[in-house]
Amino acid sequence: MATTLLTPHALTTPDSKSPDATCQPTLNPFLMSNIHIMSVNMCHSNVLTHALLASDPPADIILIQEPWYGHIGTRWSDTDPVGTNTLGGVASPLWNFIYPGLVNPGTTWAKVMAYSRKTNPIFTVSNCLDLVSHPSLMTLEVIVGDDHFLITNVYHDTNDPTCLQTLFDTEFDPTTPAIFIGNFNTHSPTWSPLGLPRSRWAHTVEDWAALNLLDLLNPPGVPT
Amino acid sequence: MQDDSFHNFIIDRDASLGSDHAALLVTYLSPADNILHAPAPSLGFAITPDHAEEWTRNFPRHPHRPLPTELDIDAETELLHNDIEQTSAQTLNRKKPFSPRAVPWLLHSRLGAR
Repeated sequence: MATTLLTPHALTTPDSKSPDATCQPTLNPFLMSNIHIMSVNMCHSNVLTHALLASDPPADIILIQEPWYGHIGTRWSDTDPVGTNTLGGVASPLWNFIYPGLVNPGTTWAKVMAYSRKTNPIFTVSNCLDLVSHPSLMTLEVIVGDDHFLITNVYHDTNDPTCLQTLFDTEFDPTTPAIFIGNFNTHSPTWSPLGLPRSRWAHTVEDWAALNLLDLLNPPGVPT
Repeated sequence: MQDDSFHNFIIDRDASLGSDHAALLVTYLSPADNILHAPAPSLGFAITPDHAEEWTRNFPRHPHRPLPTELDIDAETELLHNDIEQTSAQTLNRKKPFSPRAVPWLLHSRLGAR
């Protein structure tokens, strides 16, 4: 882990090569308009999340699936003198944290979270709770000057089909650039390595993607 | 992914810091060069009678001095402008840009025709 803490910057240098890199980052003349997005499953690790946020990763927006989400304090009041444990995610002075739509933020567990870099001067992030409100799903609107796009962070818990159903039921504006990224926990010959059995709900994901005119960004067959 | 604004997709296992999942990185390239625009020019101040006494009490901020040369006059002129600006900023409210929401409903049709 200590070694990897020193290496995230390597992604931003044009001449570095990641073993799994599918295409090399290129320098764009419009540097002000490049927004780097990272998606990672943190497996509920508090330490890894703190390390990630403190390591200055090559991203302006980080989407996390299975974030660490635990007790961060206790709420007391006159009517609740014993106090109630309050849940929350990892905080960092360098990052704004964004929770998904939770019925009760203090007691409902979030399965996705997002962070946006506080020092970014070019975009603002808005959590579209009017569009999606689910502990495993969040849609962010990123506004860059007169331009905007949507990022949807997905964690499909195979024991909870409501996440995918909520995603399928949400109507996204087809004229707005959008990316759906996360951990779908779904195997399909369309994107999975050869030999993996097809998930029984995979066709619903494929149908939804086709219906929404989505392209697959990751190379087929490469495990993520 | 919708649209072709997302590029430079990278699967990186190091960036996930030991998680059993790889980190996915992608870059959004805005079609427009969204360099930050300069702030709108100031609209000036709302000069109202109730601020007159306070404004007069705070002005001038610098005592006037003799002006024997042309350069002194130019310098004093600039100082005077600065004094007016600073005193106004201290005592008056700034004018706000036009907002359609501030228009009474009875004038909405006229606003739309404009």
